[in-house]
Amino acid sequence: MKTSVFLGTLAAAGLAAGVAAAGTLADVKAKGFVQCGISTGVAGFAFTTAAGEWDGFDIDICRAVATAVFGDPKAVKFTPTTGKTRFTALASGEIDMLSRNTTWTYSRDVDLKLTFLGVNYYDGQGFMVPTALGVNSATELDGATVCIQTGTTTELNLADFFRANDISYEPVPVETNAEARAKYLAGACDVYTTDASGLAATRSTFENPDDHVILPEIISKEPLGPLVRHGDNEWGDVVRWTLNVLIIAEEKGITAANVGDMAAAPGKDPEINRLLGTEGEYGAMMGLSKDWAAKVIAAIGNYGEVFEKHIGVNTAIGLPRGLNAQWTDGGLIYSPPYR
Amino acid sequence: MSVTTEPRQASFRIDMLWTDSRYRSTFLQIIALIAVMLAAFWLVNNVAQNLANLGKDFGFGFMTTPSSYDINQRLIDYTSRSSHSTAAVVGLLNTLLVAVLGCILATFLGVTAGVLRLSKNWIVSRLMTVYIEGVRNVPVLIQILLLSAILDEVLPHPKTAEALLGGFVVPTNRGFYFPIPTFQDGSLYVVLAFIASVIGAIWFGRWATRRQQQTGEHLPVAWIKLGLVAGVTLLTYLVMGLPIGLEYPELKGFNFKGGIYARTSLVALTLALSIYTGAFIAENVRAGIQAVSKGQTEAAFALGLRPSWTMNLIILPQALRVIIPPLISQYLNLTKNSSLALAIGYMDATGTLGGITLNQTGHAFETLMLLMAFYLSISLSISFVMNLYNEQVKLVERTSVAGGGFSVLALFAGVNGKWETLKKGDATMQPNYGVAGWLNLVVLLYGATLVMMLYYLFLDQSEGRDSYYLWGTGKQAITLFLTVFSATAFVTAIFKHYRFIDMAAAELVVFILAVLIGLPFGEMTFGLLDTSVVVFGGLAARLATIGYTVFGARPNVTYFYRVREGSGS
Repeated sequence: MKTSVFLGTLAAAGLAAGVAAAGTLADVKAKGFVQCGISTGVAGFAFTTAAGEWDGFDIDICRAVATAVFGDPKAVKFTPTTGKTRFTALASGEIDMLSRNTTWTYSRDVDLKLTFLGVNYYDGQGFMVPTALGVNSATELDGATVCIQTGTTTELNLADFFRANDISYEPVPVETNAEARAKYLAGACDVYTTDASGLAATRSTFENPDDHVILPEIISKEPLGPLVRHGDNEWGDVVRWTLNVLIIAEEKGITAANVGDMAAAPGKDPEINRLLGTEGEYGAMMGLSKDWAAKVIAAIGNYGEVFEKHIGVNTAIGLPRGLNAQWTDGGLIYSPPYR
Repeated sequence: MSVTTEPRQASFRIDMLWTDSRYRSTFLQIIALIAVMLAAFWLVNNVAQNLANLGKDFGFGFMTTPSSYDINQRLIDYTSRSSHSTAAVVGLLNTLLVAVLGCILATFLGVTAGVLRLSKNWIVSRLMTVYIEGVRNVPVLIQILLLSAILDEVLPHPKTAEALLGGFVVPTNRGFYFPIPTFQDGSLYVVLAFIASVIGAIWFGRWATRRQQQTGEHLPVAWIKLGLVAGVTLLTYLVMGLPIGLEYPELKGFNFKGGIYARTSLVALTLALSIYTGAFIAENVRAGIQAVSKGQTEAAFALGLRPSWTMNLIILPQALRVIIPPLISQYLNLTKNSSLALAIGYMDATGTLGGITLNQTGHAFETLMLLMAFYLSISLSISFVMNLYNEQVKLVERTSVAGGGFSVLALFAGVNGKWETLKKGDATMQPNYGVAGWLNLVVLLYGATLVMMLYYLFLDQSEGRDSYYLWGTGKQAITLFLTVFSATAFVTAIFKHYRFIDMAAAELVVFILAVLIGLPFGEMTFGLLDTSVVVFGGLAARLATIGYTVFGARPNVTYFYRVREGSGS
């Protein structure tokens, strides 16, 4: 009996230690990989390649963080999460960070005790309907059946939008994007609503994308970005500045192709020098190597390259940069200075 | 005369706790208990500490804030401005809806399949074997998903949907639409005529049974009952000028409007759960029937009973005693399995309270605890009711005076002589048909109290009413106990269980406490009755009920099957 009590105590203590760990960065370094929470699959943002590897716009954030810590974009393990399981997975310590088209909101930040580390995609909620319905505006959707992923901000926006416009609708809650796609294509719902980027991504996977139209109304602000738990600022800094590095790299014209040359010797622009580690000891401040940013850019590319590769106008998704252009081009993508 | 010598008392030493067999087992049990309590305390403390470390505070205040989400299937008024607790109640009712529909359908399927599996017809019995073995051995989640996918893909879009069965049902891939009855002037009389004819049919059934026992003559009771109910109701319906019509669903805009709408999620879940559970029930039924000795059937045939009568009068009543206990657990399984609704987007309690509310507020512990409390109370209620039913039908021994702990009756033993509580099958017990019919009003009293309490706890959304979570602990506890005891008194009265007296006494105590803390009884009866009427009328009715059950003049013919000791009967 004493043994079992002892074992029980040990097991419980182990559980407790998992939750109440002190520093995620140290833990991550100790275990040798980043455990990254992602979505269960959204074309362009998180999908598996023919080789069975995860790839996509959100996935590259995880890979960039892994490169920053270990210099290896493969030092990452992925945990697919649904809209409902993601925060529990993060809060419980099951995953180290979440990069899963997650909207930054007040209550998630303050009440759920999560730290949002920036925005990698400025989105808004839209509606997709079959062209055959002849609907031109979301305000014509009175009485429509709407497929909606539960546990998302879109669910709340939808309720608010229809209430504000005093029109009725029938929500059909679904768990994942794939399920919503199946329901929508089967005609079990007239409308599918989620973030406009997600709609474009989903539409790109249809057999006849032109038979479906995304309505002009954008009914919400959905700044999407990576996030970590509250109270672990060192780890938060690593993820935040990894994202910022990608953004600064695009602004300064550093690409995966030319970063090797630029990092070889100090150049004229001091910010590039600081970023690429040819000047100062900026990496060490965060507990990383001197040339961590150069490795990230070499492995992943800059923000613009990642965007164009996965979701840009030349891909099947075909999203224009729009709000997600650099601030110098009239967009909102803007990083604090690296100094 | 015998001489007894006192055994020499060995002085107690501490090592005797584990060396002396007199103390060892107690000592070990105490140690084990302490260890378990320490472990439990440690776990709870650990959770509390970790929550505190995460900066999360434990509390149910969030349940009173607006939910901000919509629910498609709502049996009560609900908008996205309603509170999370209202959303939870909407989910609870949806769970209960599936559970009730599923249990009824599963019982029907199970009994049919179980009986047919024993059929002499080779094809029928083999078909039932295929159904039972096929369904029982596939996980229910997969069956739910399959059925949902079939309904989504196979049924037509509303634009192309056509009414079937003469407009009785419109199947679409969003659900099934049925016509809804509309009540015009005079329909009240039709409803009243229906109720009156049903009561008449019940009375006739009792009369026919009594007559058959006296004279041995058998009347075609079922046909006469049917004729009575249908005839009287139809006649009133015609005389009043067809006051009840049907409103058919019509395609308007995107979907059908009007009528009764059963969503695909509800249909898929109910069907899948009842088909699955029905297969298990079928096996229980088969086992129960086969447990009845073959001699019973042969004896019935020898008496010249038809096969259907043999089944209904001889076999099934005996088989029920074997069938009921496993049936309880099948009902419980079905109710608990209904939480798989999550997979197909049916908004049950797990979908609203344990799904969206949990996710949008982040209060996982609180919502899951509420959810567990809900499923626990539902399961315990089902098993309570079914156990009482089992006690009615189960095989009884020849003498089985019920003992089993303290009863309020014992308090009155000095005044009224000692009572023995008998069970069916006791030599002194003589059940008497139709006796003390007025005592069934007791059922109404406790039933009304229960409905009132459930409404007040869960459904009342009137302005300015504080949410349950904001009440004082005393009021919370008293309303909860009043609900529990009125429910147990209600059920024990229905099943004529001898423990009714204890439940009624406990309910009286809590009722008095509720009066003392000033529960707004007037409001709780929808303003139909004045608070003083409810308080004094309720007290009088309760005292009268308890008085009658304790001092009743006809003990052996009240429904508690009691006799005064030694009086015989």
